[in-house]
Parts: sequence; C-alpha cells; structure tokens
Amino acid sequence: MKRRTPLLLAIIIALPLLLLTWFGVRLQLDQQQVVAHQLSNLVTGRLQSIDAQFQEHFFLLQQRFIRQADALQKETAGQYRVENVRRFIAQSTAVKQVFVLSATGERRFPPSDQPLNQQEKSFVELTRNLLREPERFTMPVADPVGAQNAASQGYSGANKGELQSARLSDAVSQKSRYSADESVQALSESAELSAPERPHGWIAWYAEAGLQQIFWLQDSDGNTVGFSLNSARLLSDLINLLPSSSVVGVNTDMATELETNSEIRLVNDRGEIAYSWGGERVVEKGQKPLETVPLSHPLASWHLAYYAAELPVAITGWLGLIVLLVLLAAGLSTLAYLLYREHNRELREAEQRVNFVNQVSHELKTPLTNVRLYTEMLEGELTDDEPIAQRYLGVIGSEAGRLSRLIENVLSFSRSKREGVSVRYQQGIIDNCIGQVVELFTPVLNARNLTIRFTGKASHLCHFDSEALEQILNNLLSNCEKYAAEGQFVDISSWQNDRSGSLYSYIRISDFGPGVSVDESEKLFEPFYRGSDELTEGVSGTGIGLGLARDLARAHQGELVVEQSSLAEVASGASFLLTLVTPVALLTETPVRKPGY
Amino acid sequence: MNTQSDKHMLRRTVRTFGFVLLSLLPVLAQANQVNLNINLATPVMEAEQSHRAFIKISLEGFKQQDKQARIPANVAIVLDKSGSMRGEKIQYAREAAIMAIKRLDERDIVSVVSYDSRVQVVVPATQVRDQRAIYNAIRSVHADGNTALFAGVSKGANELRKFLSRNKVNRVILLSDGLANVGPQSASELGELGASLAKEGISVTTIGLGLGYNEDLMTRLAGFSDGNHAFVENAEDLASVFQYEFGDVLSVVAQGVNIEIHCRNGVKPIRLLGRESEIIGNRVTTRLNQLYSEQEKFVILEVEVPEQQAETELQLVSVNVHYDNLLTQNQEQLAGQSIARFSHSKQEVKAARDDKALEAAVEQVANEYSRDAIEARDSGDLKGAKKILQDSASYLGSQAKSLNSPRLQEQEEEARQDAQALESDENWNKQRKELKARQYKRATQQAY
Repeated sequence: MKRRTPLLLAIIIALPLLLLTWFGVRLQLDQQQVVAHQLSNLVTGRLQSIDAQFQEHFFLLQQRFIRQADALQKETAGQYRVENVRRFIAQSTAVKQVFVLSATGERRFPPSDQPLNQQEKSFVELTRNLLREPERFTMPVADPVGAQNAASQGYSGANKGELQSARLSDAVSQKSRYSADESVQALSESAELSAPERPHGWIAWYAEAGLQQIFWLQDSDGNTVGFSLNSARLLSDLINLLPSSSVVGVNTDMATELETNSEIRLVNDRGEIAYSWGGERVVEKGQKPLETVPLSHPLASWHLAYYAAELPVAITGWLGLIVLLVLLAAGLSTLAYLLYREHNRELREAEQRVNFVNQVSHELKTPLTNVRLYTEMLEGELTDDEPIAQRYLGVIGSEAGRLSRLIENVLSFSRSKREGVSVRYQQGIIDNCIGQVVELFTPVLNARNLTIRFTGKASHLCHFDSEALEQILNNLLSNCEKYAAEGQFVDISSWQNDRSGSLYSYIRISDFGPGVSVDESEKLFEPFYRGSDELTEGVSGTGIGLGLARDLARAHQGELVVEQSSLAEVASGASFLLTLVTPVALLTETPVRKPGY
Repeated sequence: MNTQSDKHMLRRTVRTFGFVLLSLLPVLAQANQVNLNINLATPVMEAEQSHRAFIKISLEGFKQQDKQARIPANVAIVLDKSGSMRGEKIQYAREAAIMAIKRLDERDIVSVVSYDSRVQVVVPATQVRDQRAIYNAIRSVHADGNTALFAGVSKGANELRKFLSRNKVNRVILLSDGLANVGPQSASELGELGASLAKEGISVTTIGLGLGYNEDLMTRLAGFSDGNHAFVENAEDLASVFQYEFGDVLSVVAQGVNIEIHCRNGVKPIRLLGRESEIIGNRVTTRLNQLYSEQEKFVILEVEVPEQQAETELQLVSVNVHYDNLLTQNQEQLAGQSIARFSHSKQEVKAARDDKALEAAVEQVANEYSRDAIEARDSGDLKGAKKILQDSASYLGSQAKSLNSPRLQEQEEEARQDAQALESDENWNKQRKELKARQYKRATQQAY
C-alpha cells in the first residue's frame, strides 16, 4: 500500500503529460510540415514568378527582334546590306552582333566578301561551328512563355496586345506589309495554329565566359536572321527587373514580408552569384538553400535559390508547447504532492489510532483475565443457597468473557494486519471444541431468550487449531446474540467427510433472525463493515468479527460463507457454513485438550 | 589648313542656321557650335616616298553662354559600401557625394545607389529639390559586405533611365575601392555593359579609391561608355574629384558625338590613337559621348600615305561628325577634310610642320607605348616592359627637342620614372593604377 500510492501518483502525473507531449509534438510537427509546405509553395511561387518575369523579358525582346528583323529586311529590300546591319548593331543596346544566313546556309552577314571589323571577326570565330549547322535554325522552339498561367495569359493578352499596338504604331505601309505577311503565313502554316509567326527560336550556347543567347528567325525569303545578345546587358536588364535590397528607413515598402528574412540569389551557369537581394544578412557559409528553381530556356542552366533564416514561427510553437508541458507538470506534481501528504497524514493518524486501540486492548487484557479468574474462583466458593450472588457472578463472568473475546478479536485483527494470520495445528475433536463454545455461550444466549440446538457429527480425531475455531465460533455466535435475538433458536450442526484423501469438517450455524440479503452477503466479511442501519441500530459492534473469522477459516485452508436458503427470504434467518481442512490424527492418540477454564 | 577647314565649317553653319540668322547673329550662331579642326601634323611631305602621317581631329565644345543656361544633369552616384570602405573612406565618400550634389539644383535629377553584396537604391531618381532628405539618405549609408559592382552599375543606370533624355547629361558616377566579387567581375563583361550603356547615351565615370580596385575593369567601363576615370589614393581627395566630375557634367554642351573618317586616294588607316574605334577597310568610326564647354577633345589617326609626285596635292581623309547640340537641342553635322602637299624641299617640309598637332600625336604614341609596357609587365616580361618605356622616353626626348616642347619633356621624364618604378614589386599595384589613370586621361583628354 505504501509503495503503491507514490506509483499511482506518478502515473497520474506522467500519463497526461506523456499524452499531451505526444499530441503536442505531433501537432507541432504537423504544423511545421504544413508551414514548411506553405512556405515552400509560397517561395516556389515567388521564384517561378521571377522566372515568368524573365520569360516575359525574353518574349518582349523576341517581339522587338521580330519587328527589327522585319524592318531590316524591308529597309534593305531583303539584301541585308552591310551598312544597314552595322548601323543597327551600333544603335541596339541589347544586341552584340547579328548574323544573317541565306536559305542555302551561306553567311550574308557578317559579310564574307568584305573586310570585317574586330568584333565581327571574333564573332565569326566564335560562331563558326554554330553557323555551320544551319539546320539548327529550322526547328521552331516554344516561345519563352508558358511556364506559368499568368505568363501565358500575358502571351495571349498583354504581350499580344503590345505586339499589336507596336505594329499599329508603325508606318501604314509597314502595317500593310505585316498583314500581307500574316496572310501568307496563315496559308502556308494553317496547320500550326499555335505558331502564327515564322519559325523562330532561342538558342543558348556556351562561348567564352558563359552562356550566350541567340534569337533567330526566318524571314519571308528564307533567310535566317540571328541576334546575339550582349550578355552583360542582358544580365543588367534582368537585374533591373529584380528588386534591390531595402535600405533602413528608406523605401522599406519595397521589401515584402517574404523577403525581409530571406535572401534570393540569381545563380549563373558557373554556379556564381550573379545577383542577390533580400533583407537582413541571413545566409551563413555553407547554408543550403531552402528552395531552388531552375530558370527556363534560354537561361536553362541558371537557377534561383532562396535562402531563409531559421523559422521563428516554429521556435515559438515549440516554446509554447514546452511551457505548457512544464506548467502542467508543475500543476500535477503539486496536486499529487498535496494528495500524497494528505494521504500520508491520514495513514499516520489511522495507524496511531490502531496503535492506541491495541495498547488499550493490551492494557485491558491482563486485568480482565484477573477479573475472570477471580470470578470463577468466587463461583467455586459460593454455596448453592446464595442464588442471587451466583446469578450476579454468572453475569460478571459472561460479560467478562465477552469483553475478552472482543479484545481477542481486536488483537487478532491487528496482528493479522501486521504479520498475517497463522494457524497452530493441534490434535483434537471438533465436536468437543464446539461443545465448549456452546457451553460458554449458553448462559449469554439464554439471557436473550435464545436456545442453542447443537447436533455434532464431527467426532473424528483430527488436527486443527482449536483457538482459531473457538474464535470463529465466538464471532458467529456473538453475531447471533446481537442480531438474531428474536429467532429463539440457534442451530449448530457439524459433520465431517473424507474427500480426495483429506478430512473436511463442516460446521453450520443458522439463526432465525432477519437474515442477510444477497447484496450484503459478501460485504459482511469486509473489515469495519456493518449491516444495514435498521439492523445495527442500537447494537454495538466493531465490524471486524466476520472478516477475522473468514481470514482464520482461510488460514485453515477452509472457507466461511453465507448460505443462501432456497426458501423465501423472509424470516429465514442467516446461515453460515464453515469449512475446515482437518487432517486425520492417529487413533491411538487421545484428545489432548480438555476444556481448561 | 586651318583656314580652309574653318571656311568649310562656316559654310556648314550657314546651311544649318539659314541666311537670316547668319546675317543677324553670325557671331552667336558660330559660338553655339562645336568647333571641328583637322590638323595634319606634316601638311607638306617629301615626294616619291611613302609616309606615315598623323592626323589630329579635334572637337572643341562651345562656351556655355551663362551658368543659368546650362544643360540639366541626370546623375546616378553609385557608391561602394563594401567592408573595405569602412571607416574614413565611406565618410569621405558620403561627404564628397553630398558636396557634389550641392552644386545641382531643381533642373537636375539625382539618384544614389549603394552596393555591397546586394544593391540598395538609397535615393531613387528624383529632382534635386529636397536636398536635406537626399543628404540624410546618403548619410545612412554604412559600409559592410562584399562588392556587387555590376549590379550596382546596373541599378544606377536603371535609375537614370527613369528620366533618360537626349537633352540631359546622363551619367553614372561609380566609386569603388575593391574588386568586384559578386556578379560579373571581368573587365570585358563590364566593358560590354559600358558599350551598351553608351548606346543609350549613358556614360559611366569610374573613380577608383585606394589600391584595391581593378583598374582594368574601371578604365574599360569608363572607356567604352566615354566617361571619366580617376585614381584617388587618399579618401580626402574624393571631394575634389567629385567636384571636378560634377564640373564636367555641368559643362557638357554636346552629346552623342559620332566621328566618321574616310581615307581617300589610297591612304590606309593604321590605327586611331587613344580611343576605341572601328576600322573597316578605309573607314574609321569612333564616338565620344559628350563634349564639354571650352574643352578640346581629339583623336589622332595614323595613316599610311602612298608615294606621290612632287608639287601635287592629295586629299588624305574626309571627316564627318554628328552630334546632339544640347543647347539648341538639334542634331548637327560637321564635315572637314585634310589635304597634304608633296614637295622635294626638306625646308618646306619642316617649315610647314604643325608642331601642336605633332606634339599631340607624339603624346598619344607615347601613351600607346606606355600601355604596351603595362601589358608586357603583366605577362611577366619585366625587361621588355622597361625597354618599351625607355624607348618611349628616348622617342619623347628626341621629339621634345625638335618640337621644343616642355610638355613632351615632362612626359619623357614621366616615362623614365615609370621605367624605374616598374622594377619594384611592392609599389607596382599603385604604380599600375596611376599609370592606367594617366593613360586614360591622356587618351581621352580628361580635364582632371
């Protein structure tokens, strides 16, 4: 009991804590996952929108080049005269060099029959291999839009509109030429609805320092016009599409929530940072990006990387959980401690009380023995002509006997709690033992108008604990005395039989009092339990008698039960059946014990 | 020769402004035009001999009539605020920028961009109205981090584009004290960017501070966009450099100057000294982004002249110049030519010599030697580099004597010192920056 209580309390503390920790951690992890997922979605969306922005830039460049190529073709009547192309190059900010291949794959610009300037020379050198395969410029590549819905909308909507307006703003003659071109286009390529323009596309190729972009298209005469981009300018323009970092106190509105705690890097094909922006410095060396998104063609080997500081949300979440758990643990511990202390105090008090009762009982035992001894001695000395004195002495003797039984009960009970019930076997005859008890109780019961009817059939010599049996019978009979006074009779019968090699002794004690209900029949044996109020009213008792009786019977390998009579409950009385295992003693031995009082 | 080209120019002027204007205000009309001078260093050459001749083609901006009528400026100041700028440097840079902006007024647009590993637009392109706010923003710039030079210039140019106009002086002023280490960092890439910006009429002035920057990158970026370049060793001098630079910016009178030279009569162009140029066949083109008030800018063309009979005249080159006159806001054209005479008389040859033009040519030739010397030194050929400079010095010396030119003597002295300085390794970094800056100034006739 003493060890069980702290254990129970520990479970009371630990179980809710464990449960809460488990759920809390799971919830937190789930939440983290959700947050991380959301963040990654958000980040991916952001990076993809940047990619879409770049794609739009390429698309606008493409529209510009298509128009410029048309203008060039028209200006030179399809001849692509060297001066015109050079002038175009000299004026164009985005284009580093231009090449024109005829339908047969011959190079028309840079001219092969005229002196070249330095740039043209190096360009020819660089693109020698590229231009040797004119078939590269026959496969139309998808326009640099369409990775994103928004962007493709832009393609069909805004950009198209821009293209249209750009065309409208051109001279009227030019416009008519455009429409003429388009009608031709519609006839020749009616199958390819998705590509209303002439074949065109972007090529990304490695040269010198890195990735170079070329936009090519076929003009209406079958010439391939290629625009090689000024890659530094391209990067500069792309950088200008991206936000700059925020300055403290100035244009803070430029930095969105997402970017204050993070850094986005534009990384080129060589893995070098081309540009980075974001809020505070969040990136430590060797930190891995949270998310990377490769850019679309023609910047295919570039990517965007998103770096972020540790998520503060998650930390506060964990902190909250830990605080909650600590608080709960503290609360539960306090509660458990208080309970434990209260419980201990009660235990101590109960123990003190029991000790007190024990001591008192002990103190009472010796004087009581003396009282009984001298009462008996006085009874022996009295002559028969003093009936009154004899009667008085008889009352004193029986009351002293009751008191000593009570004390014996209390002491046995406390002993049984301390060290358990022990039995000492002795040779004897059950009926003799019963007879002694009956003899002892007869005057007491007679005083309450009860008569004992004893039928003894357990006359085998056997081993049993006569003291234990006496105590059991004492308790049962005093219950009869207390509760079944109006029954007039108390029947005691005993018998023995031999079963599977050992001798069983049975003793039944029945009264004709109010009886015991089925519900109560088990509770009767619990310590300190006393029967129903109407029954116990005005009757003194400790409530330990029956329990002790059963404990003794069980120690004796027997049992004490209430027998439920099959007859009607009313006035049937209570019937207790005591079963004891009583090993057979040798016949040669005579019963040792005699009634000694 | 002078008078001839003057006459030619006058005719051009007449055509441009019409008779009425000319008859009423001939002086004023001329005063608001760029002056084109084509001087052959040796107008009379020995006959029956092929020659190498230098032709100096110079342009001089007209005088700004008064300060009020100046051309509005659109300036982006791009400040390096990387970790190496910490301390005094960034303080001086901030103050220099503020002092310079004080010279601007409401007509002008200014923007300030700072960069470290990232780029911050400190002052977005804005009219110079609330100066105090601009100064406060500049004072908030503190040094930290790496050097994203390319992105800084890009963003600076982007700020300019918000108010980009042919009628403004569009200029990025880049201050850097370190190597670009975020984003593109090679001189060629920055050069490409500069060339592209020049096509939009944006020039980039680069100011290298201290001994840590990449002078090749800075001079190329400035060279391709026809900005200025300066080497500032001590941060205290930044203020004066900024003042010079803004003085230049505020005195621009013409922009987008294209010079086209055609060599005639079998004359072959060899090289154009000083500036990036395009030589295709017998056609040489180059461009200057701007001309400043009362400042002469010139290029020297070296040509090969075939043998000629004595007592003949030969047209060597014809020159066409287009430019945007910022004052009249018109595109204007100038044309001129250079004619040489051939003679047997050495005296005549000597007497006709144009000392000024020859002096300029020699200066540029020596400048080219100096560039070669750096290249040789870079490739590890210390002796070769030294020899080039010594040759250059003796060339300068002999020419200085014959031309009686103290300027060339000075340059000779410089070349000798440079040859000496080549040897010491620890000073080479500084030496190289100085040399580069000096070469750049010579080649572009930078005012400071």
